[in-house]
Amino acid sequence: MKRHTVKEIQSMIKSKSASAEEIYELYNKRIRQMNDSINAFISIEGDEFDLDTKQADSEVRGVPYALKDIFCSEGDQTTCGSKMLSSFVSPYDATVVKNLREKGSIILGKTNMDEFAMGSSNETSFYGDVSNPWDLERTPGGSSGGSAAAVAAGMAPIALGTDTGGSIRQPAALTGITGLKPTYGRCSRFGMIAFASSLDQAGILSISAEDAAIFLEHMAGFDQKDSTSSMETVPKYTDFLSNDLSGKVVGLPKEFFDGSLDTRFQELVTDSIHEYEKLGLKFKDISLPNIKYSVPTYYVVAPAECSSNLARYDGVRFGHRSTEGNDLDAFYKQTRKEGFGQEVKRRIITGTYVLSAGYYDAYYLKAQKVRQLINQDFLNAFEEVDVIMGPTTQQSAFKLGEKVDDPVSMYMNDIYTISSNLSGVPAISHPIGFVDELPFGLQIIAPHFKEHDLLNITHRYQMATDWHLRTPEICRGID
Amino acid sequence: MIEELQEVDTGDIEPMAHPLKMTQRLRADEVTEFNDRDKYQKNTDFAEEGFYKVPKVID
Repeated sequence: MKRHTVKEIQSMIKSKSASAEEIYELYNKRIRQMNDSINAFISIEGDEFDLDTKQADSEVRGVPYALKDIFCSEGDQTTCGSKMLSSFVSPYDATVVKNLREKGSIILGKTNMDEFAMGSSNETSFYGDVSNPWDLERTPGGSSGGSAAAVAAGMAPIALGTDTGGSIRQPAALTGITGLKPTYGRCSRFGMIAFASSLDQAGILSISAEDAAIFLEHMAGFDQKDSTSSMETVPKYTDFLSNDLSGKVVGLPKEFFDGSLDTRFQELVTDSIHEYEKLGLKFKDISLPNIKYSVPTYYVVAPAECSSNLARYDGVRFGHRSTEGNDLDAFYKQTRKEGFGQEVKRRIITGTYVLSAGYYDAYYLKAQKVRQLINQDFLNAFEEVDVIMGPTTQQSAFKLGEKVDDPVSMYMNDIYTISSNLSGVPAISHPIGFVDELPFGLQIIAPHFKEHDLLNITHRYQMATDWHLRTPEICRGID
Repeated sequence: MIEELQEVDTGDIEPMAHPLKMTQRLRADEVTEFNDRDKYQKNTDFAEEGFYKVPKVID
């Protein structure tokens, strides 16, 4: 098969070499052929075509995309990877979905994910593990594992995901694609099922940075319905893609290069830095002294917000409803016991604990103060450098089942990605090579609202290299 | 793992609840939401005459 980019689909539609219907059918067919082995999709849409493409002319008209099952899309089942929402049908569109629908972009289906986006391997999903297209015995990462696997396998040209602690960038790195987490507040969170409201952000999983730029332009922007949505103007990201990189300064935090990375991954990172030097970037050693506290800070703040957000699932108005329980309390308990999986329960219990009267100061308030220090580290660093680079993950895709019983080891997957969520800064991951035929990613972090720099830098790298165009073996023999 | 936070000196650091320095904006005092009760109640089999049914609360 040919994994078409959004850019290519645009020109196919413009030149009339393929119609939007034909392109939609092609991807729909691929999904039906491949989903049994990859399990990237929880549900496949089929009847939306007419509805969506009649709308106005735009750059993304007729471009199909896969949608993480955390986003509401009107009339579609929306499970958030949970039994709790197995029967839930969205009564309205999330704002990002509405924005894309108005531009004529079409949903191919809803992608698998860790339950309520809590997980880094897609193994907490009620709808089964997702397989990594590069090796079906391995994880695609998580929580946007279905979206990542769908794009990597050519089942969708592009996908939406969400990133609360690395849930776009880590799966992008593990499946050899590009993953962008925009600045907190850049895309509306309305209609995106909440996990940790001060960290959640919608973003894009794509083959190239150019595709991410095209989609971000159409989905981002201020939304009256999200009180934390930013009023900052949305630039035309595609205008920045080809800018010259000379003179830009990159910070390499010593905390990301502390010798803990396996030498084979370290070599890939070093090679990508050499490539970037050829493109004109200058490198400088920096320090983010408090970054080592990111993971513990996150695992106080995120569960605290989760315990509050997930209180709404009580079985009364929507979602799973237990048939047991004679009084209201027993009914709530039974509904939540049946509806939530183990990891979600673990986080609700942790979050309730750190917010409880006797422990609030020691844990929650303490974590919020450390969060401020981590944020300050970024602000200080960005006085000296334009962007920060480092590996996205510590290793490539691990085997399904390898870490599922060890939550702390699973949490450490996001050691490099979590800090950008705490600070709210945008970050991107792009593929930089392979070890044992498994892809590995580089992360670039920029100051608030500098997505155009991330896309520009990544695009220039992708013009000079072809790691992002490598296609897994499983795509062979599929049309 | 979480105990590691106790070693950080946070003295008089302002706690950070939100990533962006923004103030809560106000909207115009206009009607923006309409009653879509019937539509929302399609998500349960336990609604009757506009109400939600729950186990008995008062004897």
